[in-house]
Amino acid sequence: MQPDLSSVTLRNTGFEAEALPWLDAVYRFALRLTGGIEAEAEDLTQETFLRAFRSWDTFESGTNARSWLFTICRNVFLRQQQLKARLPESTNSELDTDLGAIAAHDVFHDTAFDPEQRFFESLVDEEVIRALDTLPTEFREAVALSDVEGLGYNEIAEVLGVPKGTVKSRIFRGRRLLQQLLRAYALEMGYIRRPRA
Amino acid sequence: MNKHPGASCNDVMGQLWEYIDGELTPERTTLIKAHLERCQACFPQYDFHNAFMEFLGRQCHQAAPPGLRRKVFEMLLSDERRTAGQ
Repeated sequence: MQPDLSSVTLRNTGFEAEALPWLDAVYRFALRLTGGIEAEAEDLTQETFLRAFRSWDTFESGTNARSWLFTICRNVFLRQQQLKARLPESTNSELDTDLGAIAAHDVFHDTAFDPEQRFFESLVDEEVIRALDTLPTEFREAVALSDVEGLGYNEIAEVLGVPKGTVKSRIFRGRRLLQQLLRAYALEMGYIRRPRA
Repeated sequence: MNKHPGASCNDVMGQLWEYIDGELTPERTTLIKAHLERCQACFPQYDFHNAFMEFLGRQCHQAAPPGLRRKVFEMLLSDERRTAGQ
């Protein structure tokens, strides 16, 4: 049942029309940030909309409300993490260097995988979501924004506050890692057979 | 006519994700598309990764729990009243 929307402000300021349609998208992004913890994602979504509502007058009507909401959501999440850990946020360059070692350097020239073998076709939603949630945060958020929410590189760069080149590298490595994880899982479950050497 | 106009296999593999993501210029897109149409080494790679992306796009599309929309509305309305009452 839809709640009774008696608020004049929600309607007249355009918040209802421009921000609220992104509730599902913000919730999904919040779920990925929290690693799939639903209660935390709900709280994060509520907090995001509260902040957005309070600063709605700074939002330029007609511009990209979705990116704006994702940015708020991520900032709220990072702030909460910092408070929880009482640790300074690690620097992006450090992370990118470390994570570079995980993903294959030459993304498409991996002889271990057979392009004919569509390991992913046997997988179901929750298996994919679980794998996505095991990726390091930097890759997870980039892949979620790109491949689940369909944002372009420039929009993602805006949300994450990093250069476009970094966005690309995180998306590509994230996808590669996800493929490796899912393939290993499909092998383990017997969905596909190990290619003979 | 040039047998390999524009894009080499290395070029194509280097920009495959950007091609799939639709992030290249129309000129690059045309060159890569032409290469993929005739290259038996690159096409299976493209086909695989493109299928993976379509698969991924179909996954993870969870909707917010039904109660959440109401909670958000109620929170905003109460915040509005709180501010109006100041």
